[in-house]
Amino acid sequence: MSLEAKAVVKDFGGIRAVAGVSFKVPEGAITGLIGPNGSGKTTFFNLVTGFLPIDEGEIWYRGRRIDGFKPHQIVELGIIRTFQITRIFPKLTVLENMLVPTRDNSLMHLVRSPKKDDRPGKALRLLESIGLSTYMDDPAASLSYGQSKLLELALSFMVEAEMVLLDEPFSGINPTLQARINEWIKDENSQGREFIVIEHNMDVIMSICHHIVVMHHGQKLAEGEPPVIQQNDKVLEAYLGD
Amino acid sequence: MATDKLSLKDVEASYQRGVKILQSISLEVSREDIICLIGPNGAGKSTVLKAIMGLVNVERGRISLNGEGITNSKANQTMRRGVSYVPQGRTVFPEMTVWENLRMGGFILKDKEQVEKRIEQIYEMFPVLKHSSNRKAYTLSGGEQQMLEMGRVLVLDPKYMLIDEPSLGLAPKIRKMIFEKIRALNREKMIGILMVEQNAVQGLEAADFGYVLDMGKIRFQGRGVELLEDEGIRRLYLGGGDAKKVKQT
Repeated sequence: MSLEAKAVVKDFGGIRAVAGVSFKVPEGAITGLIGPNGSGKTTFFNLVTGFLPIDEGEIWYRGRRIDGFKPHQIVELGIIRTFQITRIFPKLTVLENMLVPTRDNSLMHLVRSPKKDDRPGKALRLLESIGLSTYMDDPAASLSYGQSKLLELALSFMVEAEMVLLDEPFSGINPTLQARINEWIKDENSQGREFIVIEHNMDVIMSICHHIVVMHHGQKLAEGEPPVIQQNDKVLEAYLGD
Repeated sequence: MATDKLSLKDVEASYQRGVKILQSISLEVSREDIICLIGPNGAGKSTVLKAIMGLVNVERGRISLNGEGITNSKANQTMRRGVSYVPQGRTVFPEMTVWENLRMGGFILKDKEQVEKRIEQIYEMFPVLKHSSNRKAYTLSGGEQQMLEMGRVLVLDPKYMLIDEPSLGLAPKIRKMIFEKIRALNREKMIGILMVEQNAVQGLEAADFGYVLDMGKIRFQGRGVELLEDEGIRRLYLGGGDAKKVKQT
């Protein structure tokens, strides 16, 4: 079992955003986290990644209890994330943004003899495949909304992580590129990387996810494989519509 | 009524000198129309809306409203003439209540009684906003915030609405409702709609007419359903070919 939430609770003032959620992420899977707006999905990401402390419950990752860890400690464990509203550095160039998350600040890195650095090459290949290579020397501030989302997604692929949490990676992205990004995620997954994806685009969720968790009013409404979820009456009523 | 149109003729625009984002864009919106712009990221779709609002410099070409030039007019002047703009992403004032946000929409109007009257009309159209009237905007769900953003520009009683990605980040059920509201605004209130959508299928289905933008130019145009059925457009811009491949696996 890779990630496990046990009766996790988070309150904001009088509002219970996450109300006792428990589920297990299957090993090696692409897991979809879906549900209506305001159902607690992004808050759940914030709890897993240490951006917010949990109020009750436990979070476990590969046999270790990780609630209470700071965001940088979570990254060191191999879990990274993207944001719904992008957090790129506007004054750095597009290429510089790609290299920021790969910076190694450890003492060992400073004393070791320099190895061949293939990061810029990898960054360029990624930028090329999402159509951003022509902007690599431009400040990231000059990108459109959708392009900024693409940049953030691409830089999440720059980090050697075992688990990637993607928060609405496809919103604002052109359908043709969506299909390409689908392939990226599936490729990376086949090499052992796990994903949890929050997304409202059901075509994507149903085509790439092995397992789906549905949240509603801060609770788990349903869980299962895509075909099961698609036919779940409660999910249809609360989220998918007719 | 025949001349009641928002039109762009050969518009070229750029954010910085020498880097043209729009190249010779010509299109028209009448008050009977819902027009949808689709295309790749960075194609210039949002820039078309910004050019109309005077938020990006138009270097060549002409933008006019009912025949009168509004090229490079300031946003507040264009709004007073009846063109409202709902930008991309969530732009409500988070710490203000729903009612305060709506009041802000009428900031440029002197007659505050009229603002109140219009807020009541908006509450009739979006009952959910009436129910949350005293709630701070940041506590609203994504769909409610999108309705608040649309409501906020309706305070000015616009003749045209420019909406940048109305379905962004919305759950499927809510997305459908937002497009229904947009159709109602057009059919019942005669508000001409020019919207940008990445959710191209639903956007074009809701629209009367669509334009496909790529690299700052209009590549295709046609009735919404015609564009959706065009094999080339599906393959190039709607993820058609790749989507099939995904489904097979």
